[in-house]
Amino acid sequence: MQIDAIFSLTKYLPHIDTGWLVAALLFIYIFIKDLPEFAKLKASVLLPLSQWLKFKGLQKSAIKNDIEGTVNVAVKILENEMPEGTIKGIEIEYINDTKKEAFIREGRVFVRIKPAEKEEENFVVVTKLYLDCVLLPNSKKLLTEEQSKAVTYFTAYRIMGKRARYLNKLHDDYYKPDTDSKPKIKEYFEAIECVDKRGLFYSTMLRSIEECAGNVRFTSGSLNTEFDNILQHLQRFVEELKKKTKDGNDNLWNYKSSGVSFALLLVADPLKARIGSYKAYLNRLKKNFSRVSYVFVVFSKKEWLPFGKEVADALDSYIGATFIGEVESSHDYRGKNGGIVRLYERKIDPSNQQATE
Amino acid sequence: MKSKQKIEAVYESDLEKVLKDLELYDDIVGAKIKCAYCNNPITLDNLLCVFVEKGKLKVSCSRVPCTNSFRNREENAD
Repeated sequence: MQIDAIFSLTKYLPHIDTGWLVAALLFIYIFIKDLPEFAKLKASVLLPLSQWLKFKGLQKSAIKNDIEGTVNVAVKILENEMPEGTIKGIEIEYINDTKKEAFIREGRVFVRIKPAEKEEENFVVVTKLYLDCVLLPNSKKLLTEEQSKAVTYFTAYRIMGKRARYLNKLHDDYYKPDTDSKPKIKEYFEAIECVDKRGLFYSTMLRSIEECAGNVRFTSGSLNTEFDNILQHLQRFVEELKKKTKDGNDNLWNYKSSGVSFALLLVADPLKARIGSYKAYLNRLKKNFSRVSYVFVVFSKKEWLPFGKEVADALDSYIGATFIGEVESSHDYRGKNGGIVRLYERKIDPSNQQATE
Repeated sequence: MKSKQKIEAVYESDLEKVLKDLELYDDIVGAKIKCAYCNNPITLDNLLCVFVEKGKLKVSCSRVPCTNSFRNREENAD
């Protein structure tokens, strides 16, 4: 039946005006040309072709599309997990002439790009340079080298995903020598990986650190300690979750320091929730969530909306917390793919730890 | 994607022209310029990036520790 329908359509094809066909194709091209997925697709064709034909223009285009496509596809996902403005995409601009005075005046940087046969090297060098420029906009200068490198390496690994050749290059040429000489980077990296597998790194940890870094009371030393403390706290929280202890360690449901305080509320399956069932969650709120300025409500599934509104109203009326944003996470708190973290804020001064209950 | 970080790049075969524009080419060929991080002589083979620090042009080589050091450079050169 379907085949008949297709054949009946084909008889009209010769009558379609070529101009309209070109216009339609042009319209589709304009629509998709800036999509990172399209750049990635183009690179998958252009890279092998450019290595064979060795035309300069083809090689430059292949390398640009490969890096921009891969990085920007990953950034589209990371953008949903990170606080707004914490990461942006990459755009490679080739220069082939310049003026010395203008270059110096504008404080510019250029990186050398090698022919496509060395694309692993190009990709790793450019991605590292890009991450050094964009990651941790507030906290980069206050964290230790080991802390910021661990975040950069972890994000680079997330960006490279399953591209084995690039991952191997990053690991063998950069990560391994770096962690051999500074084992603390590996410790941080593994802790970040553990926390991220439950969706709490970018949504909770990174947001809290960037929040602290924006606070004038924070110096480099105090932010380094805060980074260590929050990471250790979340790692212990995740370890408790893995053990599936019914209530876990009560002290781990919230984190308080002089700079930032937050609490975690895990919502297992909102679809099973009925009207009024949010009250079960409020018991935990009352017990553990006083005197915190942020509450991260971590949902296990994306289909939380009806229940989310109920929890939001309850948080507002019971503890005076208002909804300020929502992020997606790569994993939910059970370690399954895809989660949602909603963030609520309470207007309290964390330094004197007085709650407005 | 709201904004993008621009990364300027020079393709291998355009390198000579750009280095001449920046008046670095002859010094690099003559091995008179050293890596900003490891102090080893910069050559056309090992050059990785050119940047500005404290109002002066600096060059770094492609050794991994130097690439890693790049993140700690002083930005806003002027």
